[in-house]
Amino acid sequence: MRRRGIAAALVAAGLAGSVWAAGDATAQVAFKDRRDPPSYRPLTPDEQQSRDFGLTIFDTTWVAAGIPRAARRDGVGPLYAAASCDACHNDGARAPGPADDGRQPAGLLVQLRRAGSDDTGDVRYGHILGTQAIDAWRPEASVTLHYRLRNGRYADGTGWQLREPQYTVTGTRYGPLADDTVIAPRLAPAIFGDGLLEAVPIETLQALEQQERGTVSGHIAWRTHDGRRVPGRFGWQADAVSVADQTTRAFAREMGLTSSAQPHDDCTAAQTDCRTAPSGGSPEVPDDFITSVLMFEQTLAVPNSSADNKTDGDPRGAALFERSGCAACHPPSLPVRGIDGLTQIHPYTDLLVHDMGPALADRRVDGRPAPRAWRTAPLWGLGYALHAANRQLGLLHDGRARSVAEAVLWHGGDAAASRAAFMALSATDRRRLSDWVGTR
Amino acid sequence: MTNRSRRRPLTPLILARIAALILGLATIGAHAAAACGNFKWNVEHELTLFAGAPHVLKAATRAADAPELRPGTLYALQLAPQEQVQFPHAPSKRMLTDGAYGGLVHFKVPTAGRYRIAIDSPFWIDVVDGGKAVSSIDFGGDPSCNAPRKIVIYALPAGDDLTLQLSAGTTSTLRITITPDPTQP
Repeated sequence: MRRRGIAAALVAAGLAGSVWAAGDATAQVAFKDRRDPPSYRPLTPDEQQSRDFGLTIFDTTWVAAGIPRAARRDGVGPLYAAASCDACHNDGARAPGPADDGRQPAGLLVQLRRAGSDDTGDVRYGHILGTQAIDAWRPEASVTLHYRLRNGRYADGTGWQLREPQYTVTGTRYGPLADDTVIAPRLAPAIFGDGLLEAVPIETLQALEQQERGTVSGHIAWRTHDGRRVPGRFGWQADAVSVADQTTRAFAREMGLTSSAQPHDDCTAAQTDCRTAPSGGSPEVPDDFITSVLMFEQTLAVPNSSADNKTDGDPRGAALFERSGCAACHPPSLPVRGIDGLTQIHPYTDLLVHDMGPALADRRVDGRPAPRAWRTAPLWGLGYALHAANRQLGLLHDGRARSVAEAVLWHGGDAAASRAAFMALSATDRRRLSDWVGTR
Repeated sequence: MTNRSRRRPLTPLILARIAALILGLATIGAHAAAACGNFKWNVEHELTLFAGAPHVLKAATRAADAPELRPGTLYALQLAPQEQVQFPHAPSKRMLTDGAYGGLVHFKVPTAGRYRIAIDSPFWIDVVDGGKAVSSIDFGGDPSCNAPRKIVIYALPAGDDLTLQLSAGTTSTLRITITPDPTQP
């Protein structure tokens, strides 16, 4: 009876049918100029104008309050992690991640969260460790990482090596971090297609939550936002409920720029100098700027894996993806609502949070592990990131995985069976599966 | 006079001075590496150049007036308010430029290949060849470092008169070097 009910819910939610069936219109297009990522839909002249201005704001490097003649772009910091959106999401793409041991690279932020809370930062340092500061200010701290290597073998005897990051925070200028603060390194993800993920109906998420998928048990990350209970969809742990929420949070916490939605930046009560620093206005990012940035972000298409998009990868890779159980959490298709000409997208995520096992868990300052629920990362656009970007790329929330295979090997919890299935594959099939994922 | 006769005996005092010099150089090197250790490439050549005294030049506001930079040399460019600069090619990154500085210079490279343009503060860089912007191959930076802070890599043709556009910066001076990429194949 229950299964029949779920099947009906899936049909209603638009999830039934072959996961491999081609969709109708596509949200994935060729990116001819990476500096000007295209929209997935035609825009009116007014929309285009707003979007162009949004891209301008997205790319703008903000400066300290009081810089002469810089009225529209001043107010960054005084303590911050990045001075522009583009510094971390270069041309909308994901940050490349750390190449090796050393200081925390651009695009890898350290979030701070009080253990057991949804959205409470460290009592002294707030939600983001400000590793940069305006002139004459000292950053909140420095972060270095060191990789410890882990070795293992596939079932066929082939060796593998993973790198496990260890973070060291030094030079904390407002005193020590609290023992129960979770150190949460987060790589800036690509923002392509975020407006489409926003259009996935809640009923779909509820149906996926109810769907029987073997040992997989995903949950909606319910958040309270403006007094309403809504699903978290964005961020590595689905902390943000919308593109607007994610964007204004990033302006406030990562860049120190206030907006109507986030009238306070990340200065805490303990940081009196930060709280009394000169402001770039009230708010520092005006509403029309936010509107335009959202127009840019919410209309962003998803890049094809190759410029011509003539191939969809080896179908044997697709079959292995499904047979290994990857599609249980990374379903190829989701319905969207309210978008002209588009009823289905292919993000390879269920937008739910899953237990991913202890190996990926963040750590508290006192060394204890933090909760380990992660939103299923969308795989679309991965081919573009891996190949078109033509640079080194780290996968997973902190960029620790240097390849698709390494990312799979870090999976645990809900995905332990899929990891085991991947481990048992032949070298040829592992490559087929990895290559196929790398062309999404 | 032979070399042997010119050599002074290594007294304990001289040995101590040599040791102190070596130790000092090693310390300076270690500090430079520690302060600028976040680049994804070896940037020792740039660090050495940026540690020297720069040639001071005024960047132009029109391409026809742009001074020429020589590869392998550190320059300190004096820039103009960006609204005064007539860029031959619109800066390829659109940004708000309130309060920004910019300028134009020319350069040529003797042999075709990959070159690094290194700067000490956050400006946007475009290399224009025959009216078209040259796509960069790679870029990297270290926000905690200003000697240099940002490096952009281009594949450049030999002998072409290239225009270097600098835009969206917040400082009226900029130190810059152009050097062959030591990692090129």
